[in-house]
Amino acid sequence: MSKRISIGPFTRINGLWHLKVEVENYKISDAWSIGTNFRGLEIILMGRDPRDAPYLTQRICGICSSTHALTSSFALEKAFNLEITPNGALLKNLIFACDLLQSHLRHFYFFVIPDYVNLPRVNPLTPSLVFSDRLPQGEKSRLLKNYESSMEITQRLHEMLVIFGGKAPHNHGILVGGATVPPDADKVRMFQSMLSQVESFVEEGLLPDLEALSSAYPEYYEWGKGYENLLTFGMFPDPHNPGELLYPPGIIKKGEKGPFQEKRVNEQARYAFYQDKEPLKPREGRTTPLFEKGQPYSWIKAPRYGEEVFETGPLARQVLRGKYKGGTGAMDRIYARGLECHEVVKEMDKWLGDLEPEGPVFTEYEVPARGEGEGFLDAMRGGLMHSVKIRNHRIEHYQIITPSAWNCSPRDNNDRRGPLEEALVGTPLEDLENPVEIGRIARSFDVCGSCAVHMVDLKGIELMPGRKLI
Amino acid sequence: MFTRRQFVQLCLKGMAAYSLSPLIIPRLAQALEAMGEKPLVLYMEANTCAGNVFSLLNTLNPSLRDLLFESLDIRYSNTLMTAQGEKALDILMETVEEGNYIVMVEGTIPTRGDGYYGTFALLGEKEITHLEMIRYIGSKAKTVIAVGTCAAFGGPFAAHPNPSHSLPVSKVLNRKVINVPGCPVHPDWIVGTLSHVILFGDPPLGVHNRPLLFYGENIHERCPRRQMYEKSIFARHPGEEGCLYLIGCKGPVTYSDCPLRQWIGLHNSWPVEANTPCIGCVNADFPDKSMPFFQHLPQVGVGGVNTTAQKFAGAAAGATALGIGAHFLATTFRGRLKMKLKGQLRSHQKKKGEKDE
Repeated sequence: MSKRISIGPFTRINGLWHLKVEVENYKISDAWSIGTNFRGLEIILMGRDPRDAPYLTQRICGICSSTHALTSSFALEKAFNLEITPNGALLKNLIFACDLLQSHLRHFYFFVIPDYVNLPRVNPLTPSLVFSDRLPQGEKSRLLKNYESSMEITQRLHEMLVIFGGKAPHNHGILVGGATVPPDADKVRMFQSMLSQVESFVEEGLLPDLEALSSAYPEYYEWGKGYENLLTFGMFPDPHNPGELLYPPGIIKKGEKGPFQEKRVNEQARYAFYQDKEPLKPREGRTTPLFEKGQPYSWIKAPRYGEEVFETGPLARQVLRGKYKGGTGAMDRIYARGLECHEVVKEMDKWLGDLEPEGPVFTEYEVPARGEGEGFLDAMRGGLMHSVKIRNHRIEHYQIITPSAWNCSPRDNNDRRGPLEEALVGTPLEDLENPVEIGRIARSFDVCGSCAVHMVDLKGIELMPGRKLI
Repeated sequence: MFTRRQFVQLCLKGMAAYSLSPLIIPRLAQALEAMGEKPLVLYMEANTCAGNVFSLLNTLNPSLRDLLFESLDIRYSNTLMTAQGEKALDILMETVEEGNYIVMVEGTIPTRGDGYYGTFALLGEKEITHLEMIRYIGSKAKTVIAVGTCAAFGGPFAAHPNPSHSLPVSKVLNRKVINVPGCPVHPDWIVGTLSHVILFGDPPLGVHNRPLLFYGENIHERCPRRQMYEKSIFARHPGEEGCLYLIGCKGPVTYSDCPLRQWIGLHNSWPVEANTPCIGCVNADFPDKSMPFFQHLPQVGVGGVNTTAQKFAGAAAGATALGIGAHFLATTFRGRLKMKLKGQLRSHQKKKGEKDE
C-alpha cells in the first residue's frame, strides 16, 4: 500500500519550498524536493555596474543576506585583482559572523524546536504538531525560556551587525574594496558588550538545549543519513593572508577526506524547468526558463561535484576540521550547527582584538574594462559560489550557486536524488496522518527556499533602450 | 486611551526612536481590550527574500514577544507557524471565512505563465499560485498592507528585464493597498502602520499610498551630514566621512525618516552613518532608478543608463510628487553647487594624476 504526502507550504524555513514523499508500509520510499519560485536575479544583474553586485545580490535572501555580499565582493576582488586591508577583511568577517549566528540561532529555536517540543498555546504556534514530547519537564521549561530569549538575542545580533553594516538585513557595510565603518573604540566596545551577551546565551542556553534535544531523540542520529558525502568551500577569508581561508575547503566522501577542486562543480537541469538540460560549468551556466508540465518538477537546478551528489553545511565544515566526530544523520546536522555557533563567537572576540583603530578599512580601485572572478565561500548553510565576468566595465555574466541548491536539488541527469530527497528515503513513519519525521529530517538541512532559486538567460533578452550588453 | 493626534506625534521623528513602545504598548493593550479580541493578522510571503519578516522579527519596541503573544493574533506566517502543509492551509482558509482580518503581504507576485513561475501551495498534486492566493485573500481582507518594496512597488526581482513578470500587490488587487516599502522595511514602520490601522483605521497616505508618518520627509533635508554638503565636504569613496552625494547618495530623491529614526531597535546607525550612500530603497522605482548605486544623481538613469539632467528631473518629478525638486535641482545645476562639484572633481582628478606620475 503506498501513499503520497504533499507538504506545501513547507513552513518554518526561509522562503517557500514544497516537498512530496511517497510512503510504503510506513516507510518513506521516495521523495521530491520542489523549488517553487522563479526569480532570475542573474538576468537582472546583466549589464549593470559590477560595484553594485554586493548590494543587489543580498536581495536574494533575507536571513543570509550578508553572505551574498561577502561572496560577491570576494569574486569581484579577484576579478579586479584587488587586495583589501586586514581591517576591511576583519570587519567583513565580523558582519558576516553576526548574520551567521543570527541565522543558526533562529533556525534552531524558531524552525527546529516546534518539531520536537510542544510550545505555548498561542497563535501562530498553535495548532502544534501531534507527537509525544519526550523532553523532561525541567529541561523543557528552560528551553521554552530560551525560546523567548532567543528572540532578543537574535535581534541583538542584527543590532551588532548594524554597528558596522548600517542596516540589517541587507547591510551596506560589505563592499568590493573592504568595509566602510572605521572601528573606533566606541563602536568596538559597544559590539563587544553585545557579543558577550550572545556568548553567554550560546554557552548557557543553546548548548544545554542542544544536549537535551539530542539525547531525548537519539534515533535521529541514525535517521536522515543521505549519501554521506560532505562538501565545503571553506569559510571566512583570512584577513592576514589574502587568498587564504580560515576554515579550509574540502570534501568528505564516505568518511574519506579529500581536496576540493573548483573545476568539478557543474549544474544539471533535466528535472528542472529550464531549457538547457546538459551539465554546465558555472562560468558558462545559462538557463532559459521553460515552465512545462511533465518530467521537470522544480525551479532548483541540480549542482553536482563531478558525477557525485554532495550535501553541504555546518556539518561538513565541522567534520572536515576535526571539530565534530559523529555520523551524518539529521541530529548530527543540528548538533554541528550549534557547535559552530560556539566556535564562531570565540573567533569574533579574537577578530575584534585584531582590529586596528586607525587602520584603513577601504581600498580604492578602478573598475577594469575586463575581468573574471569566481568566489567559492561557505555561507551559513554551506557552499556558495558567485561567478562574474566583466566586459566594458559592466557585468556580462553572473552566476550563483547557493547551498540550498546543493541540498534541496532535484534529481540529476543520471536520475539520482538530491541529498535531502535521499536523506528522507527509508525513514519509518509512525503516524501517517501526522508525519512529523519528515519535517524533522528536512529541516535539519536548514532549507532556504529563497536562496535555492536562481537562473540565467543569455538569449533573447529584451534590453532597455540605451542599455548595451556589448 | 490616547488620541490619534498623540499617536501621530509619537510616531513622528525622533520621538518614536526612543519611545514607541512604553507609550504605545499599554495603550495598544487597552485599545485592544476595548475591542474585545485581538486583531486577526495573516502574514503572506510571495516571491520574496523573506527579509521583511526577518526585519519585523528585529522589532525591539514593542518586542517580538509582545507582538506575537500579547498584541496580535497572527494566524498565518510561513516563517513562524508550527503547522505545515495542508493543516497550515486549513488555518488560512478558516481565517478567510471568518473575515475581518488584516493581511500583510511581502514579495512580488509573479504573473508569467499564468502565475506558475511562483507557487504558494501544493494540494495533493495541484499547485496554487501566489497570484490566485493573493487575489483570493486580498479581496476579502479588511485591510491590505504591502510590506517591503517588492510587495509595494515590485522591487529587485521586478527590476529590468523582470524575468518573472512580477507585479506589486496593488497591481493584482482591485482595491486600496497601504504600501510600507523599504528593502527591507524598518520594523518601526511596519509596527507603527499596523498599530495605526488597528487603533484609528488607515493612516494618512502620501504619494504611492505610503503612510506620511514615516515617508513624509526628505532624507537629504534631514540628513545629519547636510552641513557637509553645504560646505562641500564630500566623500570620494565609501568609507570616507563626508557627504556621500558625489558617490551616489539617493537621499535627495528619497522620502523616509531613516536619518532620524536610524536602524534598528537601538537606532545606532543607518547607511549614511556607515559612510555608504543611501540607495533609495523605499522608492517606487527601486532599484532601477537607483542604479548604479555609486553614481551621483544627475547621471543616474533608467536601469543603469546615463541620462541627462533634464530627463532625470522629469523622471524624479514624476516619481516623487512631493516635489524633489525645484530647490535641489536649481541649486545643483545652476548655482554655486555646480561650481563646488566641479572643484571637487577637479581636485580628485588632479590627485589621481599625481599618483599616475
